[in-house]
Amino acid sequence: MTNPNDIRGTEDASALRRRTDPDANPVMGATVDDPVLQATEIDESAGPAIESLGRGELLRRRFLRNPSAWVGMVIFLALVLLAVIGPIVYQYGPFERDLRNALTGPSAYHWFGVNENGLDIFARTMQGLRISLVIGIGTALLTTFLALVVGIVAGYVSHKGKAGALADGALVNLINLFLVIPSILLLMLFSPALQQASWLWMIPLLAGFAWMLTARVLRAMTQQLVRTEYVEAARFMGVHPIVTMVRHIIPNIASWIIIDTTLGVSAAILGETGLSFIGFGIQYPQVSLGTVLQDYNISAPYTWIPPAAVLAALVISINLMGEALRDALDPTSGSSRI
Amino acid sequence: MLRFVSQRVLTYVILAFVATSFAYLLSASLMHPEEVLYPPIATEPVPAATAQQYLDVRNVNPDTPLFERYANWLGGLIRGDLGVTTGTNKSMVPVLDELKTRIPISLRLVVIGTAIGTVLGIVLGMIAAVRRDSIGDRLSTVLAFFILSLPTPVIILIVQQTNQGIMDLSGWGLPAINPINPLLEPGSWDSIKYQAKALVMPTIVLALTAAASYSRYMKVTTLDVLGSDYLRTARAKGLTRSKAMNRHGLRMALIPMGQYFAFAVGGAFSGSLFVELMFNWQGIGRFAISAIQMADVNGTAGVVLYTAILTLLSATFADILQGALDPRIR
Repeated sequence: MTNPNDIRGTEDASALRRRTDPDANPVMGATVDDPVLQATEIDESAGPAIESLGRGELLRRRFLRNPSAWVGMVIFLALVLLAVIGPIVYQYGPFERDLRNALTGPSAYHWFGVNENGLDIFARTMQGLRISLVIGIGTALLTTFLALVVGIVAGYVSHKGKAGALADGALVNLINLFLVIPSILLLMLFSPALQQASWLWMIPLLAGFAWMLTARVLRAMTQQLVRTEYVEAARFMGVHPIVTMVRHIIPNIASWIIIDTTLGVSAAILGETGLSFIGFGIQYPQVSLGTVLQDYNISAPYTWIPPAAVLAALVISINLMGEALRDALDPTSGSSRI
Repeated sequence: MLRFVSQRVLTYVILAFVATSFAYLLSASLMHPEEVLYPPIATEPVPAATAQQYLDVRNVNPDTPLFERYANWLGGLIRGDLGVTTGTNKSMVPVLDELKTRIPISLRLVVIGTAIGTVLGIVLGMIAAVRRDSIGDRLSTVLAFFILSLPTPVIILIVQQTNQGIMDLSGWGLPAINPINPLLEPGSWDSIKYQAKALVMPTIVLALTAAASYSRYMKVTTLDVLGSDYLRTARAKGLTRSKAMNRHGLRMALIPMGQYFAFAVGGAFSGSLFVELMFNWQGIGRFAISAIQMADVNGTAGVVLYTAILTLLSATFADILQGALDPRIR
């Protein structure tokens, strides 16, 4: 993904390099495993008052202690509710024209005003919010799935002889190739052809150009985990590789995957709205927040400020949750202090 | 170092070639510029011989095998000929001429915006890391977070609306659209002044987005450096904090930034695409949009070639910079 606005990949990549670099950090398991877990080892005499926390429980507590996580969750849930209920109770549809009131500001009948084509901005924003939410979440999940499959397989086979190294090298070069061509050009090429079928094609299309960077990180993490004793032991016991991946590798990188998926939702929404804005994304029978923004009029700010504010609130709430999750996972951040 | 750089350049040339070929094959198989000869675009039937000639001269005849068309295009590329525009608007302009008039318009946008954004981002990121938890750090982190959470069109709209508001209040503002004023005499002082003023808003947009992501990245790498052993050694042998940072820290913090910079130019291209669209600059970004809309195969391939060369140049620049900075490569 060459999108510079992609909030992932900057801190993650550096932190991960630090964490997974075999030269700098030979005992990678020590940092991936939760350090606090070892600190909570207690002797029996301390009594039942102290319990050791599970990893998930610990993450959950740290996440909930972060005020920005709460802000993000509340805004996100409010927007989801608005997207579900808004179009049901509102009297106008996204394509109903009220030409008599064209280019009038917010009123009791048109909550966000009417644009110059007589279309109600609130109705369009809500419909666009629905589409953007579906596309954002769907794309993030599909991206994670693709990256997981490719990254883990590449990381797992990269030590297995010549064929493994070859497959691994092919993946790295493929990622570099996609970094040379701006992905927006390729998306613009594919999108019109696929849009004729269904707007849902947008999800695999966006995911197809977003999985590479995540896959590269997952590959590096898997390479580290494959060298640990318990994976080696599982292999010597004759456990099937797929079982090993599912049971031993994925649980160890699960928390990172969750963070990346969360931030991937906002990246996908930004990508989709950008594409729709220049006219290559969501097409006529559907509305996206990008197409709503397309009808902007500088001399009438209400034509673009409401959809832009909804879009910004959506992306910011998701990013807040993602950053809070990352803080919860990072042992050096402030939230690990009890 | 020369060997390192030349090796890298060779890799980039191969990557750029593969990328452009891939884009040509993709656009040649996905686009249908021949639709212009059939209804509903053509209002009356076109004679078969004319149609064949029309398609052959543009190298978009669907009866010619895809790889033969690719070979034709490649032959032209070697001779320095990128073919003619083939869009459904029937115009036939050499792609190279089109690119020549548009590249200066786009390039000044991308280069100035990226340069200001990079410098600003590096400085802000360093300050944020060195003065951790100060007001400046908090402010720049929050600002970068907000800018990265907004799509480029919204940032452009905010900048344009602010300008409009100032213009409504004070009667003085920057030109909202067009890079040049056609009413002013070209080359005159007024015209140059207008061009400089028109450049301000697009540059602000590009610099802001670039600075936001660079400052985040720079903050992380600087924090890495601040905790390192060699910086402690430098402090222990008697250098002041700022001297140690300038002489040893900054250099090491910039090394990972080089690789990031190399591929961020692609991002600057997509940023300039929105800027050109919304400020009505007739640059490469505008050309890319219209080329893809009008099924212009050769034009699309030309745009990809331009971005590939741009990435190649910036990656080479980043490598030379890295070679100069990193003592392990020399």
